[in-house]
Amino acid sequence: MSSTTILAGMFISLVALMLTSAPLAFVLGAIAFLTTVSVWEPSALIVGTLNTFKTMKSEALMAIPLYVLMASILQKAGIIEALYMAMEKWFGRLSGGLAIGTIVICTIMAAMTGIVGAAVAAMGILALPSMLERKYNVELSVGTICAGGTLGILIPPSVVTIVYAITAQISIGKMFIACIVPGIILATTYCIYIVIRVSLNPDLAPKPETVGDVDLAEKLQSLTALALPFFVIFSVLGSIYMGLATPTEAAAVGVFGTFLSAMFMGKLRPELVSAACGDTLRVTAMIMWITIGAKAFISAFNATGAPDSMLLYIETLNASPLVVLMVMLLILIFLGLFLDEIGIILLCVPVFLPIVDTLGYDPLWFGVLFMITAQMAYITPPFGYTLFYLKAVLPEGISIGRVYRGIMPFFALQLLVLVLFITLPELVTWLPNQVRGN
Amino acid sequence: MHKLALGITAMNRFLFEAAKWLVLAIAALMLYEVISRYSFASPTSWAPELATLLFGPFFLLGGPYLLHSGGHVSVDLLTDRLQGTTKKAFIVAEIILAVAFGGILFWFAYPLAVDSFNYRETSFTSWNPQIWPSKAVLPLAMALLIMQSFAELVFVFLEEEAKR
Repeated sequence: MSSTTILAGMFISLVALMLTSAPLAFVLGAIAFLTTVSVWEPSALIVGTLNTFKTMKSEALMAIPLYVLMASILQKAGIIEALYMAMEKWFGRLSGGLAIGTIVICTIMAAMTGIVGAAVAAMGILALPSMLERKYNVELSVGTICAGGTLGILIPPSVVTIVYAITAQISIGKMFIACIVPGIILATTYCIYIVIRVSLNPDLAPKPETVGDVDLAEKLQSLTALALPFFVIFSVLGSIYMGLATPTEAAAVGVFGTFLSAMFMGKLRPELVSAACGDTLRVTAMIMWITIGAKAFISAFNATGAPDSMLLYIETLNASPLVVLMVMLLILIFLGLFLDEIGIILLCVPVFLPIVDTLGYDPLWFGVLFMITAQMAYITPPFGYTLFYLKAVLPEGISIGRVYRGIMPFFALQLLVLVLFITLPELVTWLPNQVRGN
Repeated sequence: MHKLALGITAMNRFLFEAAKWLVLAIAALMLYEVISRYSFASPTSWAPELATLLFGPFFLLGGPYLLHSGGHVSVDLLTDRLQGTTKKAFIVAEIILAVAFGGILFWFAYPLAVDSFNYRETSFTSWNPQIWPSKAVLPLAMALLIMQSFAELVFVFLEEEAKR
């Protein structure tokens, strides 16, 4: 069998079996094992088993449960709620203020843990009812929540970024640093968009009718709600950037910080911790089982010799690097419609990264572009995680169709920022280069 | 049959509930390592390694129950609205894949875990613990996955019978 036949067989069976709605982990693993048996000999399967043993003791992947645990406790302990109250006092008077405040809170949450589900669920429960009560436009409200929630993918620390860095074999710390500026730019873009939309059409976000400002003392007092989250952010990111701890150790420090915060709020009860641990295992097991399947799939894929022939093919194409880059990004956006991000990383990064290297692009920069396509994937149907989370908390009478319409402008904004970073790579590479220089 | 399937599910749920606490141990060990490195200026040799040894059992023992609770990621684009025999066929396909995945990993991991136990294999680090307990969890988790697949199969067919 030629490698092309094997490859075609692998991908056709991948698509066909995925459509049966079988778990991705088993689909990837089973195809990998069957390919190995039919092409080589059964004893070659031992490689997959040894890889699994290696995955089981990966220090870097161990950061995943720790960040998920942080997010779950922050959400359950009402710390996000306190933040939202403070934000309402500060931004509530502005036109479109609640929407901007939602983006701000999502940014703060993203800087703490970056678990998209936690941000979307929390904002869906807190921000959505209060925006709807104030007669905010439904599409604008849900779009803001979905787009804001996905900021967690880009703004460090982020689980998706960790998986990317591990798969691409680049430093997780550097990848985090590279994501800071793009994350801020994206969050700012959302805010600017909201301000422009609302000033063009004030009906989208009516100001509150009752006059009478919240007095300054009350405003300042509400700021104490920020203290705990900033303590957590500082303990996590601070210990990474100052070189005190690896991202995994920093996550452990962050878990400690969130426990302290929850205790401070008087919410640290056994039931809460038990529920948070349950959430954590559910998410971690899901990611890690896919990782096992995908690693087996990738090693079978690599063994067919396909990556080499693909690289050779691209070189003979003589296409401009930009065109190749565009094709890769389009594939990522397309896959994002159907596949989970962790799955996409594990499938595509080992294939794409040699190409990125050959073209002379910076893997950090490509990583940032990847994270933006990942955010696009998270808000687009049919496989948009944020839509699932939001659907669970959506008030009755709002059809999922309105949610889809609501996310469209934000999808366009993400596309705009993606193009911006492609045309001005310095926006991404400047900060990590500064750090590298020192 | 049905009782057996319920028993398997209950066992895997129990293991999920038990394994979930390991994340606290992992966090505590990593935190202890950071503190002892900076406060006492003496990094431990064992804390991070013990944490990595717990990580595998943590996520592996949670997996079989996810098959029951539907927690594994899948593409439910086509199957959302399906009913009857077609739906049953798809679920059977899912179970076959899970069994193939679990069976192959079990087949290869089991002898490795047994060897590891027989030779009292150690990790060759400065702490140098015996590592067979961590390794043994892989074949164990795969065996549990296969058992849960069997239980799901029973549920699918018994549910059909109950409807008639």
